[in-house]
Amino acid sequence: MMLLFEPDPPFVRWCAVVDGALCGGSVEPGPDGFAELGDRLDGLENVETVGYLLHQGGAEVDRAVSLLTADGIAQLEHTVRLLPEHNDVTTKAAKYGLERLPGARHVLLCDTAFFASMPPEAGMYAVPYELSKAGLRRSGGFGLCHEWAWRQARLAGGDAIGKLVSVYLSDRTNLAAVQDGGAIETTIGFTPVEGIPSSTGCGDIDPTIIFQLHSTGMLLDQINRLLTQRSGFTGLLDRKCSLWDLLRAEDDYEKSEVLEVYRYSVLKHIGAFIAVLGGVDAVVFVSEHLEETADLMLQICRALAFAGVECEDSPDRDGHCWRLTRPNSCVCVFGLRYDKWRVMAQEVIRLVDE
Amino acid sequence: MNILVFNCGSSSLSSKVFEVGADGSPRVSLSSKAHRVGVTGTEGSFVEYDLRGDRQKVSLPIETHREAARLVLEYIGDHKLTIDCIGHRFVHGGHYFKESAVLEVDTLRKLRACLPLAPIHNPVSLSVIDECRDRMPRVGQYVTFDSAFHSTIPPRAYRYALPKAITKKFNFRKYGFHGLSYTYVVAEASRFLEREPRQLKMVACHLGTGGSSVAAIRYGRSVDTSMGFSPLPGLVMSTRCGDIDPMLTVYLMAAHGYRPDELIELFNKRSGLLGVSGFSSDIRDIISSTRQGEKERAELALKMYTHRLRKYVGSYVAALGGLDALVFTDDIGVGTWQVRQKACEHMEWCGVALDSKLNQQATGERVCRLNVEGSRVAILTVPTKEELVIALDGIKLFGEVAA
Repeated sequence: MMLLFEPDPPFVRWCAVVDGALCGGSVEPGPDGFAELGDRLDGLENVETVGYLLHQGGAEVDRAVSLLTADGIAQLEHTVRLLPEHNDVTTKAAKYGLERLPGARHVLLCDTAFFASMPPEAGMYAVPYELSKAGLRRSGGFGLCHEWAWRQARLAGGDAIGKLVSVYLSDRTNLAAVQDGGAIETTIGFTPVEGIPSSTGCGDIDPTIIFQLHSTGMLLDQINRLLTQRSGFTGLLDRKCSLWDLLRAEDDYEKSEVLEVYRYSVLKHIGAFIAVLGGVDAVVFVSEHLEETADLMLQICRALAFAGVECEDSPDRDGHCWRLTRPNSCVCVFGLRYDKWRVMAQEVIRLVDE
Repeated sequence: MNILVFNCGSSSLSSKVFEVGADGSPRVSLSSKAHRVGVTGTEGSFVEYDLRGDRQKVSLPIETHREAARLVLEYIGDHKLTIDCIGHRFVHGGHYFKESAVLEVDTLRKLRACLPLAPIHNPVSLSVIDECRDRMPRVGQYVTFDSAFHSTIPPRAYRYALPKAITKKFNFRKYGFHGLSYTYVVAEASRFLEREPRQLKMVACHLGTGGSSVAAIRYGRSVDTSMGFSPLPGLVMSTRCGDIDPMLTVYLMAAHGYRPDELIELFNKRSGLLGVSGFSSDIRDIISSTRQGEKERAELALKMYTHRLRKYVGSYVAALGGLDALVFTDDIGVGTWQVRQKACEHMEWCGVALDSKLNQQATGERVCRLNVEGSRVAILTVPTKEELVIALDGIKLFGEVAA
């Protein structure tokens, strides 16, 4: 049996993989949580491997997949300052996991490592150099997803694919520009708030806005909550809204306007990343719910006609990899069905096999 | 008809008198510029005048823009020039102004409401307006806005994904700037290409020695631009950081203890090329730097500057769904070929093909074409004339009155 953990502060989400079948839930990242987990799984004796997902590894963790031993905990603890709530949960889960399951192999999965080699012009902000040196830089994120997307694109499109724009469509939509297997741009910045608006995150805004809010007496905590939990689609609509709610907008004029803000932001970032790559061979959309994002993908696809994307009118919607472009299209576009637990499991197995 | 035009820079004041001939086209009769206004440093402040070729330079301390305006108005009085109307450039018109406005009581009230929107630029422009009202109370005045050109930007591009109530309360939206320059550049590029603006998808890069921005212009109208609610976001500028993670601001205040005023100063005055290179805010110094210890960071600063510029060009080509013309303007856009070369490298995917020889030969005197022959996208340098745009608005607003 393989156990996988992902932070969901204050809890940790878990997934057990037994003979290819998945089951999961959410527990507290401590002794009580592991006891509960043991009850759910009729004991943890059969656990052979355990994977822990770390969202933000900073400069400390620069490998996407690595074996974790007790020595590694100090390093993990050092990353907590980078993304306090999430990394704290991962660190705690890893600590108790190592204690409770000494016979298993433990693997650390890091979502920022893929971006550690990003060129400085993409990774840095144009702020005083000393601040950049002190660690103020763009971290990227969802590296496991984008690295997987790169491999899938090569499987589907062949070795001719060297320049890829990978678009992860979700409540945390973000993009990566990938050249020859390495990330060279990301929409995620110092935090995941930068970039494309999400369900509750504001995305790119003018920093002057924050000073204006602060000058009216708003506290930093309130501003923090405002930008991360009350903005995005939810803020624009003034009611709780996920990407999936937005995509079911059909007759709702207000929602369709918000969807337009989102779609436009994705389109612009694709254009920016094609410029960074100096042209593009393939664009992939990664989605957990391909059917629901089908229209969105096709609309963006059509808007890229000028860049050599020849869209299928009604592409085949079978399986886990949809080809959205015609066979003779200069640029291939694929829709990939994403299952994060399975991708995590694959990564863990790859490392263990090596 | 004579139109006096004022254009405030951060430490300078340009003014021109345009004489509108019988054919309706304005010609410059007096051109003046006050330099180093309010700057304390080694070299003192001075004013240059050029009255139909008769040049004069006067060195004297100039503490404020209002004082600089007084000097110009005195010069005009001394030389018996009649003025029919006075036009001013105002950076930020907020949501109040979508076009130029004649100065009336109501206009003044709105201008005052706009002051906090551009705290560096707007109050200075208003002080020049006040000086003109005191000295020439009977002459009509009008104001043109750098943000007005961008009032055509659609909601999908101007909306910030913030809570509705907050957006409404503070009028948070993308406004955009350098509108006078873009107005001129669109008309001039279209004229040069012998095509109507409504036939062109254009990306224009206004690259100045201070601020810089990019605009996506579809059929003559702005549909997106890189600056925002304020002139801070977008490109890497001389001392402004341009785009950053909004949470960086929160983080620096919460974890590093910065006060908001310190951070505003840091992002606006100590970032950008200056912050990265550590030695200069001028891209020309950075390009020519060979000194050991400077060179590495100079190269980094140049890379960051052009990387950000390329991203904006790419994103606006996508926003426009293709490109007919790529235009560079203002001092750096027209005067620094290295920047254009880097911006156009590997951009064949959208039809941009730069002729490197033409690129190096371009001069700041006239419109120059820089693309290789037969290329799909025209690449141009267009020297901008913001003051002329202000004067043309004056003819529209006051032409009949003067006639």
